[in-house]
Amino acid sequence: MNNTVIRLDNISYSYTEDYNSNVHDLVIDHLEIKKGEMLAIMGSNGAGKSTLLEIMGLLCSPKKGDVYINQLRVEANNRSDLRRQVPVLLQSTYLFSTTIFENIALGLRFRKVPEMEIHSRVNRALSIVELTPHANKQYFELSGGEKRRVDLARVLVLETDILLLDEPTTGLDDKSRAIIEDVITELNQKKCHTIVFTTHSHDQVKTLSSNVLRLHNGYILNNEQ
Amino acid sequence: MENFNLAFLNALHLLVSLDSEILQYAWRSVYIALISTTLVIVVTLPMGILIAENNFRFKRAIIIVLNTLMSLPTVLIGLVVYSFIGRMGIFGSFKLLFTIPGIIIGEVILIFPLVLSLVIAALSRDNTQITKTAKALGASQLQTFLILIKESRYAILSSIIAAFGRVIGEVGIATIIGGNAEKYTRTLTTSIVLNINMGYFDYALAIGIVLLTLSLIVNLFMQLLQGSKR
Repeated sequence: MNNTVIRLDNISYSYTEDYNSNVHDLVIDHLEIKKGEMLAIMGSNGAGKSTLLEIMGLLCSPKKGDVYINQLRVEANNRSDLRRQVPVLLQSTYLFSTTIFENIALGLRFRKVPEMEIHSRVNRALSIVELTPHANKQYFELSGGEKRRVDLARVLVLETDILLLDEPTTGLDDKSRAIIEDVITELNQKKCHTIVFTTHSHDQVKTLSSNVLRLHNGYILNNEQ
Repeated sequence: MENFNLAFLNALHLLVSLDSEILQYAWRSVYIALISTTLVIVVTLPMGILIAENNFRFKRAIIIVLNTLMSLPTVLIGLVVYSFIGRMGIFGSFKLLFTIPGIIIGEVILIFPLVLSLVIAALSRDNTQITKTAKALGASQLQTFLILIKESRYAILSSIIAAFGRVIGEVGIATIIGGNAEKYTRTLTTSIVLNINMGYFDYALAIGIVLLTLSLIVNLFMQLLQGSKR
């Protein structure tokens, strides 16, 4: 049985570094991510980590090559539907100008989930990231670490089998980092979710991931197991 | 100073006594401003999103042209529209000259560049971050469009206030196209001009105060809508 959940073939995509506007090509000949895999993507700034994650999350279209999600080839007519199977926690958090509860509920509202179910799922996600008392607060009332946990809860609440996390713990305090790492570990080990995350931290790679993919200037250096 | 005191007393009297003539002018002014602003917002919102969301060759040129058009003199717009909808104009058969719809056409042309410019500026601010976050959570194209408008609502409201204020205080287009016909097209501003010409300075000032009061009420209402913003 084929248990590949994400597959990239002959991908080529031009991306711009955030810091110096240099343009690079991300080139991936072949990459497969298996069900239940915890893959860490490492590389220096501008190596193409976020771009690779956004290609997997169908947030940008490569100029060449094919992307497969759960064995389905991504095309213009199924892109929106398949995107719902690969939610992405983006590198920078943007909370919408509403309450924390509504921020977390948003992805479910996009999917037209019934109101009763939204309430129970959002409350569960709030409890996982330890933000239940903050449910009715406005987005601007939280600290940076709490905002990042809301961001994670927004992805968790969708209950998809695949999660793509772009530097989920960068710049966070110890408490928020520990909570997020615990959640990720539990999802992967107990619920067999596939998790792909980018990081700069070698310690985090040792603790969390089963596989490591190293990128340099848009190219895969190695894929360690 | 005496004029001002008299004007304030007259204004108070006009407001308290609900003078039917003034009420009629005021209603006409508000009606023209509301319809023009609504029409422009309906057109400029999707246009603004398209321009703000996409990078294309003439984007900068479009923004420069819009900014230039913001300083178009109202009398010039009045004259141009007059030449199109006047009896000899190409749209003369529609009989729009000296009518409220005729004034609205002129006002729409006046505020279109202003609102489109403000909407583009509002949507350009954080739009990449907003659209990317919405899509990352599974939003469709339409849901992304709606969330973008929702997130930019305060800036969009500000452009509505600016457009409404521009139209309600406008006199050139209302005079040239409307013709200041007492029972049909006279507005608060054209009435002010008429009273000045007739030498009723205090009465003109009083109507000016009524106009300011109306603007204040509209702005208070908009402020209430923005109330939840920190």
